[in-house]
Amino acid sequence: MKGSLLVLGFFFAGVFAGWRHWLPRAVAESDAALWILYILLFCAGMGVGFDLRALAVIRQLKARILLIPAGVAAGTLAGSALAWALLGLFGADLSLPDSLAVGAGFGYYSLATVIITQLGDPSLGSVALLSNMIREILTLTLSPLFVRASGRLGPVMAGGAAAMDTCLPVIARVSGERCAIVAVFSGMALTLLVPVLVPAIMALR
Amino acid sequence: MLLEMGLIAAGIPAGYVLRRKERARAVAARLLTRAVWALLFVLGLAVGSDSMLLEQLSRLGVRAAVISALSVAGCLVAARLAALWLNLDAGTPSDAESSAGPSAHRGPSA
Repeated sequence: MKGSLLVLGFFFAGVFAGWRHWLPRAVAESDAALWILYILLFCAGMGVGFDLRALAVIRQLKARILLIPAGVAAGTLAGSALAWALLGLFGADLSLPDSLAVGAGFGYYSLATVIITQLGDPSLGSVALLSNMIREILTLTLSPLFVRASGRLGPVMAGGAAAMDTCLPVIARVSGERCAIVAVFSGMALTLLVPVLVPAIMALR
Repeated sequence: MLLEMGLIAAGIPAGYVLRRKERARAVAARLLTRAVWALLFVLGLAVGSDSMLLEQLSRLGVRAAVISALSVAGCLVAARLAALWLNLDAGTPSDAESSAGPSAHRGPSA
């Protein structure tokens, strides 16, 4: 938990620094995040290399591995529908397709935001940005709790599409290398699903 | 996405070569932790620098948070169900509690 709070602390430190414009805009808009991601991915690969037996999980699960991204999609959309109902009770003018479209980003905040904004709703696009970002941050910070609540697949599925990159190292640490392999597969499947599902749901509005 | 897959793939042989070096694992673990910190900081920076986003944060933020929280909750329920059908424990002794890979110790290293 201490580790999670520390990670969250860095996030808020960044928000504060950005708000006060302590660092030049160029830094915030630079490729810094991209390079850090590259390091993370390389380290995640090293983790698999440290113990190659983890790869056997794919051979072991075979087609059942598809249950995981399918479960993420089902769980996310069910949760998003519940969110619509709850927000509606408090008077929010959010339609069901709106809420589902946001959820269907599956944590892939950059793509979900771009798609929704380009389909004509920048306000919903901002909600998608925040929501999918929050989802990623929740997974990065609360993974140990997710494992306790739902077993090793908890962080894998909570991470959604982000489980294959930004959340991968954390998943490897709390759930083990075998789950890290599963996370890569699931994240890939969901990454491919986002540009198909989000426009489809937006068309229902 | 190809680049991302390529980087993971590139890391695998590196990890394999270094698999017996305890120092390499420790360094990788520490690098990973610091990289996660850095990523979250930069993410925060991007959010904080966007004054338009900050302005709307309260209204849009609540909606976003509710959707995120319930989506994640839905996934955690799905994870419990998936665990009934999938047995991820069988096979290797090297899993969450043990020391495989960069997860050589619990939690981020100081």
